[in-house]
Amino acid sequence: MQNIPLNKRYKKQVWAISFFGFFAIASVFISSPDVNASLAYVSPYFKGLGDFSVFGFSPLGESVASLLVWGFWQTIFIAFSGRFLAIVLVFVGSAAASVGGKSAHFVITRICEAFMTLPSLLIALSLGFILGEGAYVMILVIGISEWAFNQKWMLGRLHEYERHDYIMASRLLGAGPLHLFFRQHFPLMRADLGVLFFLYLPGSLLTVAALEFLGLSTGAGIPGLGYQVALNKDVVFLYPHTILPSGVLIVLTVFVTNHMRNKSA
Amino acid sequence: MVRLFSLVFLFVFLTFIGLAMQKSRAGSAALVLSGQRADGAEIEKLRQDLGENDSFGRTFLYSLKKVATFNFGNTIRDQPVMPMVWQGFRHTFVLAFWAAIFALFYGLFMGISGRIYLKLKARAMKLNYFLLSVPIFIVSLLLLWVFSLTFSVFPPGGTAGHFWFVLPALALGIKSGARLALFTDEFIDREAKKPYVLTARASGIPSWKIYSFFVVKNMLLPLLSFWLLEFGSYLAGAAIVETIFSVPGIGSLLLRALMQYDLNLILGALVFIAVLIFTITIIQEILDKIYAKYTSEQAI
Repeated sequence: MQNIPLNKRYKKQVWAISFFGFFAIASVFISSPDVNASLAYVSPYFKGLGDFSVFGFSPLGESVASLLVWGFWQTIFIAFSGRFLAIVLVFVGSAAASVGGKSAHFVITRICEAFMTLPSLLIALSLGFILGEGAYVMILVIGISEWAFNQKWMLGRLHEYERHDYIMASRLLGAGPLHLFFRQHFPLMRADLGVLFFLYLPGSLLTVAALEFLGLSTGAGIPGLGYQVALNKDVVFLYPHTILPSGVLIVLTVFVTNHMRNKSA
Repeated sequence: MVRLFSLVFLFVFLTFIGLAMQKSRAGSAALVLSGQRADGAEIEKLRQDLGENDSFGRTFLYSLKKVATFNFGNTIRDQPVMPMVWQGFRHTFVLAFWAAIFALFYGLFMGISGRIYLKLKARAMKLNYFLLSVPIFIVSLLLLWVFSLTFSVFPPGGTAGHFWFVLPALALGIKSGARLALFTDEFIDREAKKPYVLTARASGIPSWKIYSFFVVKNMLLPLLSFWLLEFGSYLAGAAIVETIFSVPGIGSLLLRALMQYDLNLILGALVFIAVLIFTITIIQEILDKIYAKYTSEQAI
Protein backbone atom coordinates (compact mmCIF):
# COMPACT_ATOMS: atom_id res chain seq x y z
CA MET A 1 0.00 0.00 0.00
CA GLN A 2 2.83 2.38 0.93
CA ASN A 3 4.64 1.78 -2.35
CA ILE A 4 1.68 2.92 -4.43
CA PRO A 5 2.14 6.56 -5.52
CA LEU A 6 -0.44 9.00 -4.18
CA ASN A 7 -1.84 9.90 -7.60
CA LYS A 8 -2.61 6.21 -8.28
CA ARG A 9 -3.87 5.40 -4.80
CA TYR A 10 -6.51 8.12 -4.90
CA LYS A 11 -7.14 8.00 -8.65
CA LYS A 12 -10.80 6.94 -8.34
CA GLN A 13 -11.57 9.49 -5.63
CA VAL A 14 -9.98 12.25 -7.71
CA TRP A 15 -12.15 11.27 -10.67
CA ALA A 16 -15.29 11.19 -8.54
CA ILE A 17 -14.54 14.56 -6.90
CA SER A 18 -13.69 16.11 -10.28
CA PHE A 19 -16.97 14.81 -11.71
CA PHE A 20 -19.10 16.29 -8.95
CA GLY A 21 -16.89 19.42 -8.81
CA PHE A 22 -17.42 20.04 -12.51
CA PHE A 23 -21.18 20.13 -12.03
CA ALA A 24 -20.86 22.28 -8.91
CA ILE A 25 -18.87 24.88 -10.85
CA ALA A 26 -21.12 24.60 -13.92
CA SER A 27 -24.22 25.26 -11.81
CA VAL A 28 -22.68 28.57 -10.69
CA PHE A 29 -22.29 29.77 -14.27
CA ILE A 30 -25.33 28.17 -15.92
CA SER A 31 -28.72 29.43 -14.78
CA SER A 32 -31.50 26.94 -14.03
CA PRO A 33 -33.89 26.21 -16.92
CA ASP A 34 -37.43 27.48 -16.87
CA VAL A 35 -39.29 24.48 -18.21
CA ASN A 36 -42.65 25.19 -19.74
CA ALA A 37 -44.23 22.11 -21.25
CA SER A 38 -46.98 24.19 -22.86
CA LEU A 39 -44.49 25.77 -25.26
CA ALA A 40 -44.91 24.84 -28.91
CA TYR A 41 -42.59 22.17 -30.22
CA VAL A 42 -39.43 23.50 -31.90
CA SER A 43 -36.64 21.66 -33.61
CA PRO A 44 -33.64 20.85 -31.40
CA TYR A 45 -31.50 22.67 -33.96
CA PHE A 46 -33.43 25.88 -33.34
CA LYS A 47 -31.25 28.65 -31.96
CA GLY A 48 -33.38 31.73 -31.96
CA LEU A 49 -33.70 32.48 -28.27
CA GLY A 50 -30.74 34.85 -28.15
CA ASP A 51 -28.90 32.52 -25.82
CA PHE A 52 -25.83 30.37 -26.38
CA SER A 53 -25.92 26.74 -25.37
CA VAL A 54 -23.07 24.24 -25.73
CA PHE A 55 -25.39 21.31 -26.54
CA GLY A 56 -28.03 23.32 -28.40
CA PHE A 57 -31.68 23.46 -27.38
CA SER A 58 -34.26 20.88 -26.35
CA PRO A 59 -37.45 20.35 -28.41
CA LEU A 60 -39.19 22.73 -26.01
CA GLY A 61 -36.56 25.44 -26.45
CA GLU A 62 -34.58 25.16 -23.19
CA SER A 63 -30.79 25.13 -23.14
CA VAL A 64 -29.69 21.48 -23.00
CA ALA A 65 -26.55 22.37 -20.99
CA SER A 66 -28.71 24.05 -18.36
CA LEU A 67 -31.14 21.10 -18.28
CA LEU A 68 -28.23 18.69 -17.85
CA VAL A 69 -26.49 20.56 -15.02
CA TRP A 70 -29.64 21.25 -13.00
CA GLY A 71 -31.26 17.93 -13.84
CA PHE A 72 -28.10 16.24 -12.56
CA TRP A 73 -28.42 17.95 -9.18
CA GLN A 74 -32.13 17.19 -9.05
CA THR A 75 -31.50 13.45 -9.61
CA ILE A 76 -28.57 13.39 -7.17
CA PHE A 77 -30.62 15.22 -4.51
CA ILE A 78 -33.50 12.76 -4.74
CA ALA A 79 -31.27 9.66 -4.79
CA PHE A 80 -29.13 10.84 -1.85
CA SER A 81 -32.16 11.91 0.19
CA GLY A 82 -33.96 8.64 -0.59
CA ARG A 83 -30.91 6.66 0.54
CA PHE A 84 -30.68 8.76 3.67
CA LEU A 85 -34.33 8.09 4.47
CA ALA A 86 -33.82 4.35 3.89
CA ILE A 87 -30.86 4.41 6.31
CA VAL A 88 -32.91 6.30 8.92
CA LEU A 89 -35.70 3.70 8.57
CA VAL A 90 -33.12 0.92 8.91
CA PHE A 91 -31.84 2.54 12.10
CA VAL A 92 -35.37 2.81 13.52
CA GLY A 93 -36.17 -0.79 12.53
CA SER A 94 -32.92 -2.07 14.05
CA ALA A 95 -33.57 -0.16 17.27
CA ALA A 96 -37.08 -1.63 17.45
CA ALA A 97 -35.79 -5.16 16.76
CA SER A 98 -32.99 -4.80 19.26
CA VAL A 99 -34.98 -3.18 22.06
CA GLY A 100 -38.34 -4.88 21.42
CA GLY A 101 -37.02 -8.40 21.83
CA LYS A 102 -37.81 -11.54 19.85
CA SER A 103 -41.42 -10.67 18.98
CA ALA A 104 -40.45 -7.29 17.48
CA HIS A 105 -37.61 -8.97 15.61
CA PHE A 106 -40.03 -11.59 14.24
CA VAL A 107 -42.57 -9.00 13.07
CA ILE A 108 -39.94 -6.80 11.40
CA THR A 109 -38.45 -9.83 9.64
CA ARG A 110 -41.87 -10.86 8.31
CA ILE A 111 -42.57 -7.30 7.09
CA CYS A 112 -39.18 -7.27 5.34
CA GLU A 113 -39.92 -10.64 3.72
CA ALA A 114 -43.34 -9.41 2.58
CA PHE A 115 -41.74 -6.34 1.00
CA MET A 116 -39.02 -8.44 -0.59
CA THR A 117 -41.50 -10.61 -2.47
CA LEU A 118 -42.04 -7.65 -4.77
CA PRO A 119 -39.22 -6.09 -6.82
CA SER A 120 -38.30 -2.72 -5.30
CA LEU A 121 -38.96 -0.90 -8.58
CA LEU A 122 -42.54 -2.21 -8.65
CA ILE A 123 -43.07 -1.16 -5.02
CA ALA A 124 -41.67 2.28 -5.81
CA LEU A 125 -43.81 2.54 -8.93
CA SER A 126 -47.00 1.54 -7.09
CA LEU A 127 -46.29 3.89 -4.18
CA GLY A 128 -45.31 6.74 -6.51
CA PHE A 129 -48.49 6.53 -8.57
CA ILE A 130 -50.61 6.32 -5.45
CA LEU A 131 -48.97 9.16 -3.51
CA GLY A 132 -48.83 11.55 -6.47
CA GLU A 133 -46.08 13.73 -7.84
CA GLY A 134 -43.45 15.79 -6.03
CA ALA A 135 -39.80 15.61 -5.04
CA TYR A 136 -40.65 14.65 -1.45
CA VAL A 137 -42.97 11.88 -2.60
CA MET A 138 -40.13 10.53 -4.75
CA ILE A 139 -37.74 10.60 -1.77
CA LEU A 140 -40.32 8.79 0.36
CA VAL A 141 -40.89 6.22 -2.35
CA ILE A 142 -37.14 5.52 -2.74
CA GLY A 143 -36.67 5.30 1.02
CA ILE A 144 -39.56 2.88 1.58
CA SER A 145 -38.94 0.68 -1.45
CA GLU A 146 -35.27 0.16 -0.56
CA TRP A 147 -35.79 -0.23 3.16
CA ALA A 148 -36.66 -3.94 3.27
CA PHE A 149 -33.48 -5.55 1.93
CA ASN A 150 -31.33 -3.01 3.78
CA GLN A 151 -33.19 -3.86 6.99
CA LYS A 152 -32.84 -7.60 6.43
CA TRP A 153 -29.08 -7.15 5.98
CA MET A 154 -28.83 -5.06 9.13
CA LEU A 155 -30.84 -7.59 11.15
CA GLY A 156 -28.28 -10.19 10.12
CA ARG A 157 -25.50 -7.88 11.27
CA LEU A 158 -27.26 -7.36 14.61
CA HIS A 159 -27.15 -11.13 15.10
CA GLU A 160 -23.41 -11.05 14.44
CA TYR A 161 -22.88 -8.21 16.92
CA GLU A 162 -24.59 -10.32 19.57
CA ARG A 163 -21.76 -12.84 19.33
CA HIS A 164 -19.11 -10.32 20.41
CA ASP A 165 -17.66 -11.30 23.77
CA TYR A 166 -17.97 -7.87 25.34
CA ILE A 167 -21.64 -7.57 24.31
CA MET A 168 -22.37 -10.99 25.81
CA ALA A 169 -20.51 -9.89 28.94
CA SER A 170 -22.50 -6.68 29.31
CA ARG A 171 -25.74 -8.61 28.78
CA LEU A 172 -24.71 -11.05 31.52
CA LEU A 173 -23.85 -8.15 33.78
CA GLY A 174 -27.43 -6.96 33.46
CA ALA A 175 -27.27 -4.22 30.82
CA GLY A 176 -30.75 -3.29 29.54
CA PRO A 177 -31.75 -3.50 25.85
CA LEU A 178 -31.66 0.31 25.42
CA HIS A 179 -28.19 0.52 26.92
CA LEU A 180 -27.02 -2.38 24.76
CA PHE A 181 -28.37 -0.81 21.60
CA PHE A 182 -27.08 2.70 22.07
CA ARG A 183 -23.79 1.90 23.81
CA GLN A 184 -22.77 -1.40 22.19
CA HIS A 185 -24.64 -1.93 18.93
CA PHE A 186 -24.84 1.61 17.60
CA PRO A 187 -21.07 2.29 17.47
CA LEU A 188 -20.70 -0.91 15.41
CA MET A 189 -23.72 -0.04 13.26
CA ARG A 190 -22.39 3.37 12.20
CA ALA A 191 -19.76 1.95 9.86
CA ASP A 192 -22.24 -0.60 8.47
CA LEU A 193 -24.85 2.10 7.83
CA GLY A 194 -22.21 4.10 5.92
CA VAL A 195 -21.36 1.10 3.76
CA LEU A 196 -25.06 0.41 3.23
CA PHE A 197 -25.63 4.00 2.12
CA PHE A 198 -23.03 3.85 -0.63
CA LEU A 199 -23.61 0.19 -1.52
CA TYR A 200 -27.09 0.84 -2.89
CA LEU A 201 -26.56 4.43 -4.06
CA PRO A 202 -26.05 3.49 -7.74
CA GLY A 203 -29.21 1.39 -7.56
CA SER A 204 -31.12 4.34 -6.10
CA LEU A 205 -29.92 6.58 -8.93
CA LEU A 206 -31.11 4.02 -11.48
CA THR A 207 -34.46 3.71 -9.67
CA VAL A 208 -34.94 7.50 -9.65
CA ALA A 209 -34.14 7.68 -13.37
CA ALA A 210 -36.43 4.71 -14.13
CA LEU A 211 -39.33 6.15 -12.12
CA GLU A 212 -38.98 9.52 -13.84
CA PHE A 213 -38.85 7.75 -17.17
CA LEU A 214 -42.05 5.84 -16.39
CA GLY A 215 -43.88 9.09 -15.72
CA LEU A 216 -43.40 9.86 -12.04
CA SER A 217 -42.56 13.52 -12.07
CA THR A 218 -40.83 15.36 -9.25
CA GLY A 219 -43.22 18.22 -9.92
CA ALA A 220 -40.37 20.74 -9.82
CA GLY A 221 -39.54 23.25 -12.56
CA ILE A 222 -36.33 21.36 -13.22
CA PRO A 223 -36.85 17.91 -14.71
CA GLY A 224 -34.53 15.14 -13.51
CA LEU A 225 -32.33 13.25 -15.99
CA GLY A 226 -34.73 10.31 -16.37
CA TYR A 227 -37.63 12.68 -17.03
CA GLN A 228 -35.56 14.45 -19.71
CA VAL A 229 -35.10 11.14 -21.52
CA ALA A 230 -38.84 10.47 -21.17
CA LEU A 231 -39.65 13.93 -22.60
CA ASN A 232 -37.53 13.26 -25.66
CA LYS A 233 -38.58 9.60 -25.99
CA ASP A 234 -41.44 10.55 -28.30
CA VAL A 235 -39.16 12.35 -30.74
CA VAL A 236 -36.45 9.68 -30.64
CA PHE A 237 -37.32 8.55 -34.18
CA LEU A 238 -37.01 12.11 -35.53
CA TYR A 239 -34.11 13.35 -33.41
CA PRO A 240 -32.43 10.31 -31.82
CA HIS A 241 -29.56 12.43 -30.48
CA THR A 242 -31.89 14.31 -28.11
CA ILE A 243 -31.83 11.46 -25.59
CA LEU A 244 -28.06 11.12 -25.74
CA PRO A 245 -26.84 13.96 -23.42
CA SER A 246 -29.12 13.07 -20.51
CA GLY A 247 -28.71 9.33 -21.16
CA VAL A 248 -24.91 9.54 -21.17
CA LEU A 249 -24.97 11.68 -18.02
CA ILE A 250 -27.09 9.10 -16.14
CA VAL A 251 -24.64 6.36 -17.15
CA LEU A 252 -21.63 8.48 -16.08
CA THR A 253 -23.21 9.38 -12.74
CA VAL A 254 -24.04 5.76 -11.94
CA PHE A 255 -20.55 4.69 -13.06
CA VAL A 256 -18.88 7.25 -10.77
CA THR A 257 -21.07 6.31 -7.80
CA ASN A 258 -20.26 2.64 -8.51
CA HIS A 259 -16.57 3.50 -8.12
CA MET A 260 -17.34 5.40 -4.90
CA ARG A 261 -19.24 2.36 -3.66
CA ASN A 262 -16.40 -0.06 -4.42
CA LYS A 263 -13.99 2.15 -2.52
CA SER A 264 -16.33 2.56 0.47
CA ALA A 265 -17.11 -1.20 0.62
CA MET B 1 -45.00 -23.54 9.26
CA VAL B 2 -43.08 -20.24 9.28
CA ARG B 3 -43.34 -20.19 5.48
CA LEU B 4 -47.11 -20.68 5.63
CA PHE B 5 -47.39 -17.90 8.20
CA SER B 6 -45.25 -15.69 5.95
CA LEU B 7 -47.57 -16.36 3.00
CA VAL B 8 -50.70 -15.51 5.01
CA PHE B 9 -48.99 -12.41 6.39
CA LEU B 10 -47.97 -11.44 2.86
CA PHE B 11 -51.59 -11.67 1.62
CA VAL B 12 -52.95 -9.57 4.51
CA PHE B 13 -50.10 -7.06 4.22
CA LEU B 14 -50.44 -6.60 0.45
CA THR B 15 -54.22 -6.23 0.67
CA PHE B 16 -53.98 -3.70 3.49
CA ILE B 17 -51.23 -1.62 1.87
CA GLY B 18 -52.86 -1.72 -1.57
CA LEU B 19 -56.23 -0.72 -0.20
CA ALA B 20 -54.94 1.96 2.18
CA MET B 21 -53.00 3.61 -0.62
CA GLN B 22 -55.90 3.35 -3.06
CA LYS B 23 -58.32 4.92 -0.55
CA SER B 24 -55.96 7.83 0.14
CA ARG B 25 -55.42 8.65 -3.55
CA ALA B 26 -56.69 11.89 -5.01
CA GLY B 27 -58.50 10.46 -8.07
CA SER B 28 -60.81 7.50 -8.49
CA ALA B 29 -61.75 4.81 -11.01
CA ALA B 30 -65.16 6.46 -11.42
CA LEU B 31 -63.52 9.67 -12.63
CA VAL B 32 -61.38 7.70 -15.10
CA LEU B 33 -64.41 5.86 -16.49
CA SER B 34 -66.84 8.76 -16.63
CA GLY B 35 -64.68 11.12 -18.66
CA GLN B 36 -64.75 14.92 -18.77
CA ARG B 37 -68.39 15.40 -19.77
CA ALA B 38 -69.94 13.41 -16.92
CA ASP B 39 -71.96 15.26 -14.30
CA GLY B 40 -71.83 14.79 -10.53
CA ALA B 41 -74.80 12.40 -10.34
CA GLU B 42 -73.34 10.16 -13.02
CA ILE B 43 -69.96 10.01 -11.22
CA GLU B 44 -71.67 9.28 -7.91
CA LYS B 45 -73.64 6.41 -9.48
CA LEU B 46 -70.42 4.97 -10.89
CA ARG B 47 -68.70 5.28 -7.51
CA GLN B 48 -71.61 3.38 -5.98
CA ASP B 49 -71.43 0.65 -8.63
CA LEU B 50 -67.67 0.27 -8.25
CA GLY B 51 -67.95 0.10 -4.46
CA GLU B 52 -65.80 3.18 -3.91
CA ASN B 53 -68.19 4.53 -1.28
CA ASP B 54 -67.90 1.39 0.89
CA SER B 55 -66.16 1.67 4.25
CA PHE B 56 -62.48 0.71 4.57
CA GLY B 57 -63.21 -2.31 6.75
CA ARG B 58 -65.83 -3.72 4.40
CA THR B 59 -63.63 -3.23 1.32
CA PHE B 60 -60.65 -4.73 3.17
CA LEU B 61 -62.53 -7.92 4.12
CA TYR B 62 -63.99 -8.20 0.62
CA SER B 63 -60.51 -7.73 -0.96
CA LEU B 64 -58.98 -10.22 1.48
CA LYS B 65 -61.54 -12.81 0.39
CA LYS B 66 -60.61 -12.14 -3.25
CA VAL B 67 -56.90 -12.55 -2.47
CA ALA B 68 -57.44 -15.73 -0.44
CA THR B 69 -59.55 -17.37 -3.17
CA PHE B 70 -57.38 -15.96 -5.98
CA ASN B 71 -60.57 -14.71 -7.60
CA PHE B 72 -60.12 -10.98 -8.19
CA GLY B 73 -63.39 -10.43 -10.00
CA ASN B 74 -63.55 -7.97 -12.87
CA THR B 75 -61.63 -4.84 -13.83
CA ILE B 76 -63.30 -1.43 -13.90
CA ARG B 77 -64.01 -2.10 -17.59
CA ASP B 78 -65.76 -5.36 -16.67
CA GLN B 79 -63.11 -7.77 -17.92
CA PRO B 80 -62.10 -10.74 -15.74
CA VAL B 81 -58.82 -10.01 -13.91
CA MET B 82 -57.15 -13.41 -13.69
CA PRO B 83 -57.18 -14.24 -17.45
CA MET B 84 -55.67 -10.79 -18.08
CA VAL B 85 -52.95 -11.40 -15.46
CA TRP B 86 -52.22 -14.86 -16.89
CA GLN B 87 -51.99 -13.50 -20.43
CA GLY B 88 -49.70 -10.70 -19.24
CA PHE B 89 -47.56 -13.21 -17.39
CA ARG B 90 -47.30 -15.39 -20.51
CA HIS B 91 -45.77 -12.50 -22.46
CA THR B 92 -43.49 -11.53 -19.58
CA PHE B 93 -42.40 -15.15 -19.18
CA VAL B 94 -41.45 -15.42 -22.88
CA LEU B 95 -39.57 -12.14 -22.55
CA ALA B 96 -37.81 -13.27 -19.35
CA PHE B 97 -37.00 -16.65 -20.92
CA TRP B 98 -35.23 -15.14 -23.93
CA ALA B 99 -33.54 -12.55 -21.72
CA ALA B 100 -32.24 -15.39 -19.52
CA ILE B 101 -30.97 -17.32 -22.58
CA PHE B 102 -29.15 -14.21 -23.83
CA ALA B 103 -27.77 -13.50 -20.35
CA LEU B 104 -26.59 -17.11 -20.08
CA PHE B 105 -24.67 -17.02 -23.35
CA TYR B 106 -23.23 -13.57 -22.75
CA GLY B 107 -22.34 -14.24 -19.11
CA LEU B 108 -20.67 -17.59 -19.72
CA PHE B 109 -18.86 -16.38 -22.84
CA MET B 110 -17.51 -13.24 -21.15
CA GLY B 111 -16.67 -15.05 -17.90
CA ILE B 112 -14.87 -17.96 -19.57
CA SER B 113 -13.11 -15.99 -22.33
CA GLY B 114 -11.84 -13.55 -19.68
CA ARG B 115 -10.17 -16.51 -17.94
CA ILE B 116 -8.73 -18.02 -21.11
CA TYR B 117 -7.37 -14.77 -22.57
CA LEU B 118 -6.11 -13.09 -19.42
CA LYS B 119 -5.21 -9.91 -21.33
CA LEU B 120 -8.91 -9.46 -22.11
CA LYS B 121 -10.05 -10.05 -18.54
CA ALA B 122 -9.57 -6.52 -17.19
CA ARG B 123 -11.34 -5.01 -20.20
CA ALA B 124 -14.17 -7.54 -20.05
CA MET B 125 -14.70 -6.78 -16.36
CA LYS B 126 -14.69 -3.03 -17.03
CA LEU B 127 -17.25 -3.54 -19.78
CA ASN B 128 -19.44 -5.53 -17.41
CA TYR B 129 -19.21 -2.86 -14.70
CA PHE B 130 -20.10 -0.29 -17.34
CA LEU B 131 -23.12 -2.31 -18.50
CA LEU B 132 -24.32 -2.53 -14.90
CA SER B 133 -24.31 1.29 -14.81
CA VAL B 134 -26.52 1.69 -17.88
CA PRO B 135 -30.26 2.06 -17.17
CA ILE B 136 -32.50 -0.42 -18.99
CA PHE B 137 -34.48 2.32 -20.69
CA ILE B 138 -31.34 3.82 -22.25
CA VAL B 139 -30.33 0.39 -23.58
CA SER B 140 -33.86 -0.14 -24.90
CA LEU B 141 -34.00 3.22 -26.67
CA LEU B 142 -30.52 2.77 -28.18
CA LEU B 143 -31.39 -0.75 -29.42
CA LEU B 144 -34.61 0.60 -30.87
CA TRP B 145 -32.74 3.43 -32.59
CA VAL B 146 -29.94 1.28 -34.05
CA PHE B 147 -31.59 -2.07 -34.89
CA SER B 148 -35.10 -0.96 -35.66
CA LEU B 149 -34.87 2.58 -36.98
CA THR B 150 -31.44 2.74 -38.62
CA PHE B 151 -30.93 -0.81 -39.91
CA SER B 152 -34.55 -2.08 -39.79
CA VAL B 153 -33.38 -5.53 -38.68
CA PHE B 154 -35.89 -6.10 -35.88
CA PRO B 155 -39.48 -4.86 -35.38
CA PRO B 156 -39.86 -1.94 -32.95
CA GLY B 157 -42.44 -3.65 -30.75
CA GLY B 158 -45.32 -6.08 -30.43
CA THR B 159 -45.69 -9.78 -29.75
CA ALA B 160 -46.46 -11.37 -33.14
CA GLY B 161 -43.81 -14.09 -32.68
CA HIS B 162 -40.60 -15.01 -30.89
CA PHE B 163 -38.62 -12.88 -33.37
CA TRP B 164 -40.41 -9.81 -31.99
CA PHE B 165 -38.99 -10.48 -28.54
CA VAL B 166 -35.35 -10.20 -29.66
CA LEU B 167 -34.81 -6.50 -28.91
CA PRO B 168 -36.77 -6.44 -25.62
CA ALA B 169 -34.96 -9.61 -24.48
CA LEU B 170 -31.58 -8.07 -25.34
CA ALA B 171 -32.46 -4.94 -23.37
CA LEU B 172 -33.71 -6.95 -20.41
CA GLY B 173 -30.92 -9.51 -20.41
CA ILE B 174 -27.86 -7.33 -20.85
CA LYS B 175 -27.54 -6.36 -17.19
CA SER B 176 -28.26 -9.85 -16.03
CA GLY B 177 -25.60 -11.08 -18.48
CA ALA B 178 -23.05 -8.64 -17.05
CA ARG B 179 -23.86 -9.84 -13.52
CA LEU B 180 -23.56 -13.46 -14.65
CA ALA B 181 -20.17 -12.73 -16.27
CA LEU B 182 -18.88 -11.33 -12.96
CA PHE B 183 -20.36 -14.32 -11.14
CA THR B 184 -18.77 -16.79 -13.62
CA ASP B 185 -15.40 -15.08 -13.25
CA GLU B 186 -15.63 -15.31 -9.46
CA PHE B 187 -16.73 -18.95 -9.58
CA ILE B 188 -13.94 -19.99 -11.97
CA ASP B 189 -11.46 -18.11 -9.83
CA ARG B 190 -12.48 -20.26 -6.85
CA GLU B 191 -12.63 -23.53 -8.79
CA ALA B 192 -9.27 -22.96 -10.56
CA LYS B 193 -7.38 -23.90 -7.39
CA LYS B 194 -9.25 -27.19 -6.89
CA PRO B 195 -7.49 -30.53 -7.54
CA TYR B 196 -9.69 -31.62 -10.47
CA VAL B 197 -8.83 -28.46 -12.42
CA LEU B 198 -5.11 -28.75 -11.57
CA THR B 199 -5.13 -32.42 -12.62
CA ALA B 200 -6.90 -31.62 -15.88
CA ARG B 201 -4.43 -28.83 -16.52
CA ALA B 202 -1.48 -31.14 -15.78
CA SER B 203 -2.95 -33.71 -18.19
CA GLY B 204 -2.64 -31.15 -20.97
CA ILE B 205 -6.34 -30.50 -21.51
CA PRO B 206 -6.74 -27.02 -23.04
CA SER B 207 -8.06 -24.26 -20.75
CA TRP B 208 -11.21 -23.61 -22.78
CA LYS B 209 -12.21 -27.28 -22.45
CA ILE B 210 -11.57 -27.30 -18.68
CA TYR B 211 -13.59 -24.14 -18.06
CA SER B 212 -16.36 -24.79 -20.61
CA PHE B 213 -17.06 -28.41 -19.63
CA PHE B 214 -15.60 -29.35 -16.22
CA VAL B 215 -16.09 -26.09 -14.35
CA VAL B 216 -19.41 -25.16 -15.97
CA LYS B 217 -20.79 -28.60 -15.06
CA ASN B 218 -20.07 -27.85 -11.40
CA MET B 219 -21.57 -24.42 -11.83
CA LEU B 220 -25.02 -25.67 -12.91
CA LEU B 221 -26.72 -25.61 -9.49
CA PRO B 222 -25.44 -22.15 -8.42
CA LEU B 223 -26.28 -20.95 -11.93
CA LEU B 224 -29.88 -22.12 -11.59
CA SER B 225 -30.04 -20.48 -8.18
CA PHE B 226 -28.61 -17.28 -9.69
CA TRP B 227 -31.18 -17.32 -12.49
CA LEU B 228 -34.03 -17.79 -10.04
CA LEU B 229 -32.77 -14.81 -8.02
CA GLU B 230 -32.57 -12.79 -11.23
CA PHE B 231 -36.22 -13.48 -12.03
CA GLY B 232 -37.27 -10.66 -9.69
CA SER B 233 -35.08 -8.21 -11.58
CA TYR B 234 -36.57 -9.45 -14.86
CA LEU B 235 -40.05 -8.66 -13.58
CA ALA B 236 -38.96 -5.17 -12.46
CA GLY B 237 -37.11 -4.50 -15.73
CA ALA B 238 -40.07 -5.85 -17.69
CA ALA B 239 -42.19 -2.91 -16.50
CA ILE B 240 -39.79 -0.56 -18.35
CA VAL B 241 -38.99 -2.72 -21.37
CA GLU B 242 -42.65 -3.64 -21.97
CA THR B 243 -43.60 0.04 -21.98
CA ILE B 244 -40.95 0.91 -24.58
CA PHE B 245 -41.46 -2.12 -26.85
CA SER B 246 -45.27 -2.25 -26.48
CA VAL B 247 -45.30 -5.75 -24.99
CA PRO B 248 -48.58 -6.38 -23.12
CA GLY B 249 -46.86 -8.12 -20.19
CA ILE B 250 -47.55 -8.07 -16.47
CA GLY B 251 -45.37 -4.98 -15.89
CA SER B 252 -47.26 -2.81 -18.36
CA LEU B 253 -50.52 -4.28 -17.05
CA LEU B 254 -49.67 -3.14 -13.52
CA LEU B 255 -48.67 0.29 -14.82
CA ARG B 256 -52.01 0.61 -16.64
CA ALA B 257 -53.93 -0.57 -13.58
CA LEU B 258 -52.18 2.03 -11.42
CA MET B 259 -52.98 4.80 -13.87
CA GLN B 260 -56.65 3.77 -14.05
CA TYR B 261 -57.14 3.28 -10.27
CA ASP B 262 -58.20 -0.31 -10.96
CA LEU B 263 -57.95 -1.88 -7.47
CA ASN B 264 -58.85 -5.43 -8.53
CA LEU B 265 -56.26 -5.43 -11.30
CA ILE B 266 -53.60 -3.84 -9.02
CA LEU B 267 -54.22 -6.49 -6.35
CA GLY B 268 -54.33 -9.29 -8.93
CA ALA B 269 -51.02 -8.30 -10.54
CA LEU B 270 -49.24 -7.58 -7.24
CA VAL B 271 -50.41 -10.78 -5.51
CA PHE B 272 -49.54 -12.85 -8.59
CA ILE B 273 -46.00 -11.40 -8.72
CA ALA B 274 -45.58 -11.79 -4.94
CA VAL B 275 -46.68 -15.44 -4.95
CA LEU B 276 -44.44 -16.13 -7.94
CA ILE B 277 -41.38 -14.65 -6.25
CA PHE B 278 -42.30 -16.31 -2.95
CA THR B 279 -42.38 -19.74 -4.68
CA ILE B 280 -39.16 -19.01 -6.54
CA THR B 281 -37.43 -18.03 -3.28
CA ILE B 282 -38.45 -21.36 -1.70
CA ILE B 283 -37.16 -23.32 -4.73
CA GLN B 284 -33.94 -21.31 -4.64
CA GLU B 285 -33.45 -22.03 -0.93
CA ILE B 286 -33.95 -25.77 -1.55
CA LEU B 287 -31.41 -25.64 -4.40
CA ASP B 288 -28.94 -23.82 -2.15
CA LYS B 289 -29.33 -26.54 0.49
CA ILE B 290 -28.74 -29.26 -2.10
CA TYR B 291 -25.66 -27.42 -3.35
CA ALA B 292 -24.32 -26.94 0.19
CA LYS B 293 -24.80 -30.68 0.87
CA TYR B 294 -23.13 -31.57 -2.45
CA THR B 295 -20.10 -29.36 -1.78
CA SER B 296 -19.74 -30.61 1.81
CA GLU B 297 -19.85 -34.23 0.56
CA GLN B 298 -17.19 -33.37 -2.00
CA ALA B 299 -15.03 -31.83 0.73
CA ILE B 300 -15.26 -35.07 2.77
